[in-house]
Amino acid sequence: MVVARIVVLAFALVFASAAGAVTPIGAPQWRELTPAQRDVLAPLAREWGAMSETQRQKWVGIANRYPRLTPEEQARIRARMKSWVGLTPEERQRARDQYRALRNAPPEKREAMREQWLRYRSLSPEERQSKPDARAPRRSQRPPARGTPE
Amino acid sequence: MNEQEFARRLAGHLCAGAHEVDGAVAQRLCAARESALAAQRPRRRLARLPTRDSLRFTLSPALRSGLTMAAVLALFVVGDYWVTWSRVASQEEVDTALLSDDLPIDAYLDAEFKEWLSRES
Repeated sequence: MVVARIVVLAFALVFASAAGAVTPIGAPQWRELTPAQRDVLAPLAREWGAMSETQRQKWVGIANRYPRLTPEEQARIRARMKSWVGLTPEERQRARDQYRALRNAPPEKREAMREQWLRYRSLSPEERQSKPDARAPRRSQRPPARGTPE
Repeated sequence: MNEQEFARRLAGHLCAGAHEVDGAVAQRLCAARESALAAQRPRRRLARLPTRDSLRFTLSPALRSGLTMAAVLALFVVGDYWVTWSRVASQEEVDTALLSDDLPIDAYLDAEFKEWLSRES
């Protein structure tokens, strides 16, 4: 009796995992989107059919949040959508992890990050690896020259 | 003489004696019998209602196994749905913030940028 129960439970678990792998969460087709959602997600129209249900559901959520963003943020999202979808899942996850790590920085550091990113981009790979002290202008070993007595 | 035989003989004596009782006693006996039967009827109806134990024995082992399997299946499907839904909600929030951020995506893809920032500060 106990063995039969274990067998039944094992079958249930196997079927449940199979069912869980295909659990639909109600992701809509492109034609089922509202005109406003289609307008926001227009850069992804071609890729929409090839996306997984979870990806589509996520983009629908982003489209619903879109009206609450500032015009600058809206422009950034629309400009970056296509390249974001073109990344591999591993790259997207790495970017999310890095974003979570940098998001916790103090506000004053967050504001300076844009300039720091531009500065970082302008450096060569060797300069990026070197320590800040090594890049600092060399101080003269000798004391500053004083005016010579007349 | 066993118990059943004694009961049968006692019933025979009572039947024979019932013809000899007078009218008033017969009426009282009849009323007592009716009230005893009336008291017995609801108890019989209650006894027919299915109890947890009777249900347990009426469900065949195959049906019980099937119900267990269905319950486990439903639990896993609901659990998986919840996990998927929470993951989508979390990604939706992070991706919206990341894509609308003033730092470009490349900044978050460059693993060395974070280390460089920590060295600079």
